[in-house]
Amino acid sequence: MMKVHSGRARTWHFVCELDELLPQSGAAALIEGRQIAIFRLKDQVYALDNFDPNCGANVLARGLIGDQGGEPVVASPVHKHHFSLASGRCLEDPGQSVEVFPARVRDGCIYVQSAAVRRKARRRRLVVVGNGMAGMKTVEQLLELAPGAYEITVFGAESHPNYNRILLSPVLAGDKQVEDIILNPIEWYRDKNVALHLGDCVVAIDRTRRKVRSARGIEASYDRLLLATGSRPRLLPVPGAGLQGVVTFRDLQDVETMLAAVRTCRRAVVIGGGLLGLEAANGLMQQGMDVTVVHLSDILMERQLDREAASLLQTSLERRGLKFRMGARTARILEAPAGARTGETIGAATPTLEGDAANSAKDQEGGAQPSSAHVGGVRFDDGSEIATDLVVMAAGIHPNIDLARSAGLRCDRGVLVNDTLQTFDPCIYAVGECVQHRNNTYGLVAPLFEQAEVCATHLAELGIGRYRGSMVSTRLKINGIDLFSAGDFIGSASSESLVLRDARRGVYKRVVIEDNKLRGALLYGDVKDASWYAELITANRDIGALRDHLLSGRIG
Amino acid sequence: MNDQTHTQTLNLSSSRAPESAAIAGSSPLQAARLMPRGVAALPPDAQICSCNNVSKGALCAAIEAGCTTMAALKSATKAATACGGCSSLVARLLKHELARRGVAVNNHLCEHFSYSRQQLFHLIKAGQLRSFGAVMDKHGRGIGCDVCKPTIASLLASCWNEFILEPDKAVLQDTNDYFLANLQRDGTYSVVPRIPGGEITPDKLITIGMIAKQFGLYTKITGGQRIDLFGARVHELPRIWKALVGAGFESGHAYGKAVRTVKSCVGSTWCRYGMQDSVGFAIDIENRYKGLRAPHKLKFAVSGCTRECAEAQSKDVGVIATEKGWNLYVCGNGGMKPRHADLLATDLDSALMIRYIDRFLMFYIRTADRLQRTSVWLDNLEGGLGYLRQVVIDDALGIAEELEADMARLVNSYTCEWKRAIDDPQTMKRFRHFVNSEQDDDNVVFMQERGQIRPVTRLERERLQEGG
Repeated sequence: MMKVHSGRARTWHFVCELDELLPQSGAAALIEGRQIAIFRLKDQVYALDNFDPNCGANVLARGLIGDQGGEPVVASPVHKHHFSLASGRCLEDPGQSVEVFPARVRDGCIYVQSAAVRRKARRRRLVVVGNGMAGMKTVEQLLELAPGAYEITVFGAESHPNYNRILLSPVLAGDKQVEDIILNPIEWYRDKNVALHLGDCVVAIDRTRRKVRSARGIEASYDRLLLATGSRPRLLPVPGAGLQGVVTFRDLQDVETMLAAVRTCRRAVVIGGGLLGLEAANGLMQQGMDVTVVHLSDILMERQLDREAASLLQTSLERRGLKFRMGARTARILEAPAGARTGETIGAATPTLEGDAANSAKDQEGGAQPSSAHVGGVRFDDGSEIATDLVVMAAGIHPNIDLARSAGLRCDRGVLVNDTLQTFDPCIYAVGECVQHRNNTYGLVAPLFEQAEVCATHLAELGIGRYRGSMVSTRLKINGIDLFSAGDFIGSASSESLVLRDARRGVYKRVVIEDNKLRGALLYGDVKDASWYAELITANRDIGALRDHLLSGRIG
Repeated sequence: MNDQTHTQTLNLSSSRAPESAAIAGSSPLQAARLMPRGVAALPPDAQICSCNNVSKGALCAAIEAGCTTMAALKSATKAATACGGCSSLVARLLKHELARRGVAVNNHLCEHFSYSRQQLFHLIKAGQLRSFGAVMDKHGRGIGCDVCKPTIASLLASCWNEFILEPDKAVLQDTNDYFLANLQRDGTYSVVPRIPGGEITPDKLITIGMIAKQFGLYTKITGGQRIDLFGARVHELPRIWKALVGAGFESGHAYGKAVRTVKSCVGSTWCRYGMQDSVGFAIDIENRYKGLRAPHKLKFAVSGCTRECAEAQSKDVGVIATEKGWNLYVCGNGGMKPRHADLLATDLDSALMIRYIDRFLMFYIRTADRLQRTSVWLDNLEGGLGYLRQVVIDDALGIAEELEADMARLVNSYTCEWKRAIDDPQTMKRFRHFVNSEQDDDNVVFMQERGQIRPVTRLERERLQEGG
């Protein structure tokens, strides 16, 4: 056997002339007692271990060569497992791979080295910033697709394990306990070997060294970083926003704060008549408080409802005892006269947001300096006032991107990601409410789960799955009120609306049709066909045949 | 020809030839579509992958959970990851379930060709394409894969019947076709000489025995009435076959997606009950169709009377003697999903029988999906048996003559692949384990059991290594 020396450890061994192998074929070579499978594509050669670990036979060289999605592979002749010619990984089984040897062509001859390309022995590391629903869904999916592929470390700013944020309103309303809404108990993290840092948020990302640092000074290196920092409630830039007794409705701590307030306070004002505001208001009312909802628009939930449905909803809520101040702009949160109240202090709106200790107060566009004085009322821009002991700010959310931005990742309203949920840094992925995808941000759970599933396939290096955006649908989670909306239910000049009103049953339905396709649906009082409408919208199929009974719902 | 992006609905391997599109609209057989066919008809608890015990329900659940590719589905359920025998069934189920969910699916061969197998057949035939390179240049992209390469090699063989180990074709072949032998679990191969109709002279029996002894091979009688010789190493194959060919044997094509055997009972020559000479007819049929390459393997049988000792009703083509001639049964299967063959025609004379089989086989070769046995093909054929009868017997498509002519060309261009191979030094050079050494694969180790060799098990191998 001829040897060409170029250093002792890395000797290039002559195998055969290139022409002895037909293009796109393989052959086994015996090199220093090792069986090495040599593959020739055209003029390029690859070398893998000839041993197929699945069947325990030296047969890989006899497999067919091809490409899968552009990656050159050999299909084992025994059970057709595919191995990457470049990396040796098994495409069907992420836990399996064969060794790769350096191979080259020089002067029409094939040479290989008998020392395998050293593979990184350590497992790859995944750091997850954010212990919420989107981040943990991604981790769960990843563990299913590629168990053991990563050492996983999770940082969560809150002191709870992952819980179902959607069910905060039932907890506030007293219909559920905190334990009921925990999705992944502490034991889950332990069982899955996931290192969890609770109550500690990441404050800096060193992208060059691929390291994150937490508020408590913990440093963690990553091969892949997943940002799931969620969103933060918007605090109105009005004087008095920093008073004791002004809270937001975002996390379990907010709920605990409000539940504490229930014991000492009688009156509450909820600023924001959107989904979250109404759920908060309903919860507080069920806890026995006298609640007024203050809303800027004169349509409740104007992003999810039209005027007609909104007024039905408002009437129904008023009948239950909620009060409304519609079309009202909050000008100032008023301080309670000293000594007017006794009893314990209620926490001010405190930031509990992930990945953000450096800039720790919530949006302080004005007047939100923490104060020891307590809230006493709300003044509107027309000069009128109402007295209250508690103010809940539920005036919307926006993506929490401070960490991403400080790390120099491209952001707009959210962290920008492509259809694989990858940010502009290829090692960093992002999912959930912090993400801006195709110019959309999402605040509802279904799209976030879709993102999580796609992202997990890429973290697992399966390379499948594309996220192409979601159709958003909403349900209001207030007992006894059935409300659903999806898609574009307002319509435009080119679309038409079909409307059903049944005052006696308290049912209102509106569907929007364009080009014989269902574009949107709004259901009030009767939502049993909600998923059917959602399907029709997503499927984008011709509903001409259904049109006549579209408003009666699914037949049969 | 056909639009490439059409969305298949229920019938995924629509086995209708493009020519038939013209009469599709007026076909009275459309009612036959009403019954759910193929994979749709299976209940949720039907076991799809028997190696890993995966049910149809489990697969559907995984598809529901977002597994929309074969890779994802295999990885999630482990179906089709062991022996792989169910992979085409899993693929059809996946396509069916996706279609049911309104996802556009296609029956494109693979990522390299946006055509179904039947479309490619017509592209190759009409375009007179004679190499993989020509097909790829004109209709494909990328370098190909282990799906499209053997499929196109098979199509080229079905169209032009050229030697499959020509250099440009050899690299398309699965290892079985590449070495003209059947790969076994330890990397050795088995050798199956053709024994037409299962009839063999004592001298030939002795020859096989001598060769098996000389090379230390394990011998076993197969279900197809021939003798399988196991444990041959790659470099031994040429010498084994030189001896076999020298004694008058031909390749048995046990390694190919091709006509395998024609099993027969002893027939009227000896049997008290026999109505016709089933052995003679079986030998005629086997010699006519030997080497014919098809979408999948083909097994035939001829029984001399209705007692059916040759089990013809479990074969792709089954012939059963009657008082007046022969009955023709088609699309039976004894394998993974047994299926009784359907009676296609009755009381045929030998000449007409041959013509019907010609038409039937060529129609199957033209229209089936890759690795689709005749039984599954018929189950998915729009119009079912009635339509098949129209094509084969009534010549409703007007292609019967063409089908017979195609078959005649294939029959006339038959050569024994092994005879051809051992006469070709270039081909013989490839029959070695190492390209750079004359050594053997030291991983191949045999034990003795019941007086013959067998491969060692993993456990035995470990013990041997510890001891040594």
